[in-house]
Amino acid sequence: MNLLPCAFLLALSQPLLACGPNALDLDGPALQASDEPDVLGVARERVETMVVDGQRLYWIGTHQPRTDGRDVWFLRSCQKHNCAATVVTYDAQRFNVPLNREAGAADPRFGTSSIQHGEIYWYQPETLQFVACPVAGCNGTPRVVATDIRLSAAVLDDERLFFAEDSSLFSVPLTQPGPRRNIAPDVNLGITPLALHGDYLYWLDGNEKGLRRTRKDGSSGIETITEDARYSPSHGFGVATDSSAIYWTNNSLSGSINRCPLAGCSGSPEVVFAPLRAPHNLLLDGSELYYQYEAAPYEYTLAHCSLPDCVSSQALAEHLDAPQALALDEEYLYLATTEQDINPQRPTDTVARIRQVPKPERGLP
Amino acid sequence: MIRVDIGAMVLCLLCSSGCGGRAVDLDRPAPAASGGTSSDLVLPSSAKPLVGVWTDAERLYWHEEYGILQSCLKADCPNSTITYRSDPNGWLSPTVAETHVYWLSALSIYSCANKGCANKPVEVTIDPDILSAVSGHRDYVYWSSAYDIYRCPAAGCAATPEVVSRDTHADRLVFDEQRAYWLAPGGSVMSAPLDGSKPPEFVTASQVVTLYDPTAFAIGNGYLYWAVEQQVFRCPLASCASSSTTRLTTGNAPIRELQVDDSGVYWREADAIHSCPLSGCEHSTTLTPARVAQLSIWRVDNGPQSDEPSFALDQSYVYWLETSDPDPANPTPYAGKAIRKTPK
Repeated sequence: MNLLPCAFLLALSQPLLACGPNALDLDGPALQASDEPDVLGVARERVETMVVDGQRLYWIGTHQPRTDGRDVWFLRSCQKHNCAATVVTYDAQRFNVPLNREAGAADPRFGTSSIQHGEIYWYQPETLQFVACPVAGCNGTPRVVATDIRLSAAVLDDERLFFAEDSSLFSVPLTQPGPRRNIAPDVNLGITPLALHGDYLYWLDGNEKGLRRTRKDGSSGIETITEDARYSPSHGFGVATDSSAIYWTNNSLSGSINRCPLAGCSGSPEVVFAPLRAPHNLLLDGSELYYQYEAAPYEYTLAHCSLPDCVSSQALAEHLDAPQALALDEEYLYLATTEQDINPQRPTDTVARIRQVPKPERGLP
Repeated sequence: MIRVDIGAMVLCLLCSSGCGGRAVDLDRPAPAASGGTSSDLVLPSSAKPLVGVWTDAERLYWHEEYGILQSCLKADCPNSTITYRSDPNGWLSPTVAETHVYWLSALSIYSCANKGCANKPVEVTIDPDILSAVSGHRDYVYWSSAYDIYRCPAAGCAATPEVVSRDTHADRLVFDEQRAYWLAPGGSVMSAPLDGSKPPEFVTASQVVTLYDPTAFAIGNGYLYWAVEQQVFRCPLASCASSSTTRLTTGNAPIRELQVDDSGVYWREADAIHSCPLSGCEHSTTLTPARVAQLSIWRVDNGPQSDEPSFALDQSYVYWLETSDPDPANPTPYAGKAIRKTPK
């Protein structure tokens, strides 16, 4: 079993874990090996969010114990070359409220920028703490980065944590204690996926149509990128940047992928690709744009196209049911395909296969 | 304005026929149509609250609260009832079009041919951002989503729905042969081609309808009709933005529903249906007794705000929901207990 000792889990999250194996249904391995050549492992949980770095694959998994209706979430990682045998679990918490899988917000607990300085950073909504551990494993209580925060979205650079709380944007230092800095007070925040590029922090306004930015140090005013972002909180949202533009998804049923220059559009946003049903989860890899969309309700397809024109789009994987379980490294795409879990409101006997497939320029499709 | 109260006359005839003004019991067949008489004939009756009624040339449709949508042939209703959807644990928001019935249940839109679909309705699509009840016109279902007005064929959506109009939403959609019309935010009326092939246009230059009651809005015979509080207005569709509006009538109570056909304008005022000819409303008629259900926006089954009709029109009759009887627990009935018809 690749779980942390029960005593540690208890210390980590007092309200949640009764350590009898039945209480959390944790009596099996977190990840089983598979004979399928492209499957790194088979998880007995829904894989919600994945991130990779040079050595490791990280993910948030959720699981509903048979003995308790409340979902449990896990933060885990493994080494990419021998995943099933190297699983590390950093955290396990019982949800205070049921997870709304359709919520469009990026996962506030953990995201693509959460690996910094050889540490993994994540948010515990249950304890209102932002914490960190070495990527190899916690080996004790996680280091507390910030306390008493109620963030709705977060993003990190190598120095600071930036987060949205109530109607303001704040930052705190990552590696040593320091005061929180209010970099954008009293802005109209709704569900606010955040992005960082260069000196700027980007976010979606609470009216769900305005895309804004401000300097990370709070020294500038708030600038408008566009007033036509068209964001639906019912679906996942995607935002990504390259050296010249910010890309986002108009994630409505007749949606699109749009872009503006990093400093903002002078007119309407440029439509990169349309129509797409509820596109989300943008990832940029050089000139390749990866995205997911709904091919049918609650059934997701991963596709890619080449920028700048995105003329020809190709589907890479179909029938996915976890809209944010996608990651990229230099050579591979990582995705989680979850099975036996048709009803998103009531997961039962979830089995997720974490797959590693070559990126298309290396042979697929 | 002169009013002729046909409803009282009909009730009088009804009493003399022995019906006693009561709906027929569920377990007994409805009386056969007497054909061409002015009797107030009851069609299907129900033990459950009725919250919507529609009709076409052949069929009568009704919505029972708690998720039951049914119809029957008007010529033989007791022996021809079909059920499109029955889910006593759910709610639905239905509409009836020329070829199909459509309904919204949870976030899914369904369709079924008017003649039935053997308990296998088509799930047209799922839209978590749907803002309003669905509207039907021939083989398409229309609805307002978070940013756009969409439509899909009754047979099911492609991956993305067709866009009728972007960057707007509709509190109510009505149709003619070429265009869809809707109440836009602020109360003005907009329209676009049914297939969204051209940008939307303002039919009226400014607010004409309060959002308080979007059911008081209709088109017909080249005119746009709407009601504001106790008054009914109209203007020519082709020139509403530039021409002045005409006040057709002023009622005695707020006008809650408005329908138009080739024979006249019909509306519900409080608990009675009234009408006047298209040529003018100097003489309006009270068609029904003061017993028409005043459908409530608050429904027991937690469905969305109702814009379902309490009356329906065919060539000869007005079909209407007879209000439920008040009781101590429900002193103000919000639904109907039976469907009656009255000659137009």
